[in-house]
Amino acid sequence: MNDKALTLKRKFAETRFKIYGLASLFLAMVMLVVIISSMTYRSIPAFTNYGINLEIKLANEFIDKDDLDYRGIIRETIFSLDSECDDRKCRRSFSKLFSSGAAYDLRDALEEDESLYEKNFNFYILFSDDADLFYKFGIDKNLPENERRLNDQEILWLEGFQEKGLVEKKFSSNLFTNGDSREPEIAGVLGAVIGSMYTILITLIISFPTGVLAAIYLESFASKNRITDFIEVNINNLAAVPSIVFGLLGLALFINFFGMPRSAPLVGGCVLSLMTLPVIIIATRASLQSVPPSIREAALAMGASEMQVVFQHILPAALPGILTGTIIGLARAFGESAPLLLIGMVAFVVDIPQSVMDPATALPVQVYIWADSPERAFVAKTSAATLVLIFLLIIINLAAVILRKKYELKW
Amino acid sequence: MSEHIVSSFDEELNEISDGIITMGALVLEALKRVETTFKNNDHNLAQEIIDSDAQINDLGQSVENKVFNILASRQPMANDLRLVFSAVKMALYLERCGDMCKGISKRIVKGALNEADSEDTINHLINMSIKVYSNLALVLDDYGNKNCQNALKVWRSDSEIDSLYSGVLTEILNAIKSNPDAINTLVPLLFIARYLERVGDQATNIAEETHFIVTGEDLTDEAKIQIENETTF
Amino acid sequence: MVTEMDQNVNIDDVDTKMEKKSLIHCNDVNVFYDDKQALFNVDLNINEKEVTSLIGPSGCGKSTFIRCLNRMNDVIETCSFNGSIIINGQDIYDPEIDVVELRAKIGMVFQKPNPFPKSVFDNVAYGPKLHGRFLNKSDMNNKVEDSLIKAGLWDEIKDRLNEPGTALSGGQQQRLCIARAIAVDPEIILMDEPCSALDPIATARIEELIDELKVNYTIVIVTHSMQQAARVSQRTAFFHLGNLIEVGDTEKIFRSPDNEQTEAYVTGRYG
Repeated sequence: MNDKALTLKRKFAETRFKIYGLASLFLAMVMLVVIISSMTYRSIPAFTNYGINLEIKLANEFIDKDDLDYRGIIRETIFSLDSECDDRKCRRSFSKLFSSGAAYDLRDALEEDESLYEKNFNFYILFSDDADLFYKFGIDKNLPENERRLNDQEILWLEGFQEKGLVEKKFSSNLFTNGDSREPEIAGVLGAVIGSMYTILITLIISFPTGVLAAIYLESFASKNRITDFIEVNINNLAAVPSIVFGLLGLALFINFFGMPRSAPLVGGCVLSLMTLPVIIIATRASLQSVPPSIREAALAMGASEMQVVFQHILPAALPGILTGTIIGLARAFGESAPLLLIGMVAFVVDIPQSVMDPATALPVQVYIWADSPERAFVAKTSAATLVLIFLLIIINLAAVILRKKYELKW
Repeated sequence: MSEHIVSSFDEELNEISDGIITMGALVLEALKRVETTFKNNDHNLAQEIIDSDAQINDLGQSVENKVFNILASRQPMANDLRLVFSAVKMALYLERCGDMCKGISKRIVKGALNEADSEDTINHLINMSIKVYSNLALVLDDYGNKNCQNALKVWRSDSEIDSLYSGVLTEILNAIKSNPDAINTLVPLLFIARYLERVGDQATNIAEETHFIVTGEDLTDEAKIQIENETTF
Repeated sequence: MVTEMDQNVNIDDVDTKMEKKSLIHCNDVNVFYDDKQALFNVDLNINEKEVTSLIGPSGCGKSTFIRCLNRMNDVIETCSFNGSIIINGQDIYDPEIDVVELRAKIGMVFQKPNPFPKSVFDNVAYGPKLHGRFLNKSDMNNKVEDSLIKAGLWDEIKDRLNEPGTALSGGQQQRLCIARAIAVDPEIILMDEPCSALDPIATARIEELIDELKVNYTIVIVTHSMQQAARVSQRTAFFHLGNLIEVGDTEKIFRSPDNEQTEAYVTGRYG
């Protein structure tokens, strides 16, 4: 009887444990789905823009290609929609409905296709963020005028366009192709992504060789004494230091002492490499230690020197683990924003950075900046940028998994 | 020497050793009986000796089987190997002794001792058998104790047996010369003497085997002289 | 006057039990692991072109001793060595000696086969490449083939030279390790219980290989099996608790050893 009761008890305990496990898994999945889906839902508006197709009449005018008043052309084209406006205030209010980036778009289009100079062509002009939001979400007309973004006249104009069927909704790739902007409708993450890439590149170049070689030295060549132990303890502790501390160090050392350019990916990379170095060292040491000692013995017995043993046998065998650890460290660095804030990569940078010395911003920082912006349109953009960040991180981690599988050696 | 880690190994070795010792005891018993039949010409006793030989042969076979098994399963080394290897030869020697006794007894049953004229010869034969018995007992003692202390004595004694045999041989040949008709009654006595001498030889063979078991060395003539210095196994 | 018959006498048929020359002289070898002494005043000579086996119970120091011969104990930090080991007239513990070169002349095969995680070809080619030999591709191919033939592996493996060494069976892996060791033409081959991890058939193949190799190489083998020592070696040394108890012709050790401790061990009386 006793045995049976014990068996039942054990079976219940196992079933309970399985239920706990499944419940935890379920909870984690639910949280993940909620986050991703809410983020995706909120980001949808960032991918569409409202605009209007208007005819640009260039054929009859004298065109000086070097000195074209793009803004003027746009203005004229816009005003062809409504001839009621006389005074400047009215005209300014009217042009506020359209994106200020339209002029740049016109310039790019003309530069791309020279034949357009000679003729009239249809051109898609984006609405400004307020108008865009009006079409997407509507506006509360019950609020007094000065508490709204659009006054009654502007609303009437926009409704008028809609009634005339002039308003078009298009998928916009602005998010991916443009740099940052004050105007939400044309703001994009390209600058931030490039900036992040440059930063991570610098981080990789600095921390990977340093970290791997340091780990090899500590593992194979350093004598086991107090100093080595001290170094080991410190490295382990550094891996747990809050990242913002590295930002402070970067500010004091790289920018103030060494005089490196502020906001450059070069400095960002240096700071992040300080953060990634302990991670790489620890991962490399673990990989080196996981190589069976029999390989080392065999190589030594063949007459290989200590260096040859490490570089010809142990390192290649440990490579998958090292790469995995490095990529995970880099993925962590990719998502960091606090240290970069301190070294100035939080500036409003419009140009896509061309080199590691140009001022730039990083993607997580871009998210922070946009989240902080007052314009409502940036809400959708922030969510969209976050999705881009998550997507890139998934790519990086996937690379780790694939590399590990590819180089895994069978013992 | 301490015991083997695997106790059944010790048991198996002891069984072989005991088998040889038992065979030896049986052979000695047969020899004693032979001596008695020389004295009283008891044909029934002689028949008993013939019938008992089968027991010695069976024991010999059993020892061989045990040796075979132990070689295959235990792969004995050093002193164990010497003991096991020698057991086969020892069994063979003892079997031969048994066969000799059986041969003597067969001749007795056929009437070899019936002639009263042969009394002198028969006394010589009794002498021989006493000496052979003594030698065999001594070497079997050595085997049982795993030492060589009697070996020298046995060698010296064996030459006495050889001399005795030569004497008997001469006696019988002379008797045949002087009385050719008695050849049928005298020749069997020759055989009996020969058999006894052979048993004496086996005793020296057994002594050599024991020496090998104890020291691991084959016996050279020089070594035989130094037997007194051999220590206990 | 030399007769016809004399002229046909083959010198190889002469009794091969003639005196073998000593290749390795070990004098007063003492080895410590920190404070614990593992070998006590060991004096042992190894003869050339024959197989010497080291036997003894676990922890008796035979593995420690064999690792002294190619200075593999150097890689253990707590290990310290005292005494002299002279090979070919040179003290191998002389500070001037290049350990790397020493190990090129002495090959080692371990208890658990440990081929490199490379192809079979690269495994065998590693040694020569490491020491800068056979840089010509076809020379290297020949050397690899030659080593694999000597190791008795060529027929089984000649179509699979690019397979990873770790994909072979245990016995094949061990023969691969032997091929790897002999590819650098060592004078001496050390084997630390090479058959412990192998089945009887693979073991038999390795023993056959040892029989063939001893014609050209000096072999020192550590073994737990007395029967193996009896089968493959010409001389045997018995170690016990760090001491060399007895050394002599294998036949003598297994027929009638001088020392009682030796006899107790080989007969299975040692607990």
